[in-house]
Amino acid sequence: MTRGEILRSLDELLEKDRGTLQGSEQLEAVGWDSLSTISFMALADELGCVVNPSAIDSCVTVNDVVALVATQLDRVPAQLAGERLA
Amino acid sequence: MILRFRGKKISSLVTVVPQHETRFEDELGNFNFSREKSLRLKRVMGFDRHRTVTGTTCASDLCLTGVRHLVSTGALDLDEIGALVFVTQSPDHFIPPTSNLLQGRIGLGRDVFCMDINQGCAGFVIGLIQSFMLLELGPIRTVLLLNGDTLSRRACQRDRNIYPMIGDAGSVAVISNDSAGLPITAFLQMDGSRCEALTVPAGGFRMPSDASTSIEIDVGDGNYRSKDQFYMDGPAVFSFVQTEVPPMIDAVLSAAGKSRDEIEYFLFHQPNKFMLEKLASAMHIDPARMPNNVVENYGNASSVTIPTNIALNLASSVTARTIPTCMAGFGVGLTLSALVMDLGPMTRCDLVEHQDVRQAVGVS
Repeated sequence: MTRGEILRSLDELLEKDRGTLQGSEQLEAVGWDSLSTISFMALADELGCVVNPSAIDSCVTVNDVVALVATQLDRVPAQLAGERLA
Repeated sequence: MILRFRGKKISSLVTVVPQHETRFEDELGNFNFSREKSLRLKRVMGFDRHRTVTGTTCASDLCLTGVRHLVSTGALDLDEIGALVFVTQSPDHFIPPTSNLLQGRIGLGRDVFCMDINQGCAGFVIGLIQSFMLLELGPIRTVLLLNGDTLSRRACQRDRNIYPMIGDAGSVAVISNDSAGLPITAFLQMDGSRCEALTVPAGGFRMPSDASTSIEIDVGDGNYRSKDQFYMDGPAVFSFVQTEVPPMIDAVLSAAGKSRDEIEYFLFHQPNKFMLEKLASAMHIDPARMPNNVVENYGNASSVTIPTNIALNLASSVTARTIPTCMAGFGVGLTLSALVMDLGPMTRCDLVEHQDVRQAVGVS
């Protein structure tokens, strides 16, 4: 899943029109609340990622939230490749 | 830990809900959020209506209605009871134990082992485990397991985090030995290091209630609450459930030597519909085998959601035949509990209403 696709999932999660979020927005400005945190944790879980609620609490922008999942997704192919080599 | 029992059954079960019902949409005005935001919460979490007590009705009153129902329908002989276990976070008083109060109100004999257990969402399974242990002692042939909570009375009506999902309810399960002797497998874990995720901070001996603990303040996210009221760290609890419940189910099924396909119903505690849907999806369990309709109809009454689930969804089948189930509770403590157990055929399995009336009981 690309960062753009994660942004589109966040559009849906925050019930905004597709393509609304650009990433640089402050979370407070897009109406992020504890329900958004829980919904995002569920989304991350479906993608096979583990996101700690305290990590979300320290995010300031939408990009920060996207990065919590994107960095884990980026790691997956490398790990798989490593296992194959081993 | 894994615990093993053999030959125990729930012979009858009744769930009691208060008659008073409110709809989420009628409570929107209490919350410091836009209507649109609150309706998003309703959609995502699956809130609709909930049952709460009025006045000073206690959990014990709901349970007493359940006991009377079972006696009047012939499903319970009070002379057979050797123990009364009351699982609650809403006792009548600090002193005496509510189980003793109930023993007196029901009119049980003096040779009855009474105990209160302070547990919440994991409390139906924990109550069953305790009841099974009591049945191992010899003279106790029948245990009356009562579960009840009236936490709406401890939740701030302006706290959108907690109030819309809370329901009040009580249940009575009659537990006895079963000659068929089928095995029962239980899983139990506690993590006290995370207990602050669900708490009522004031009102005990650590932080006694005073004028300051009763003041409802904006806690910073638009929700109001006092120190005397119920607090839940929603994301921390969700994280706990998401990471701990699927491995617990794998562990208890493995210990029981059963596959997921051999379980007809997964009867989980119901904090809200959303969490149940996510658990079913993560564990690849057909949602039809994990009912999640308790909160939208009655609210989350902590340890009573599993009995409510059984009475609401399985009453006709569980009184007719045996159903292989896996029950699971998770919550305050933080506590995890699960049980692989066949249910039924029960003599009775009912859901009844309690009409609030000022009860002339108490300790002077």
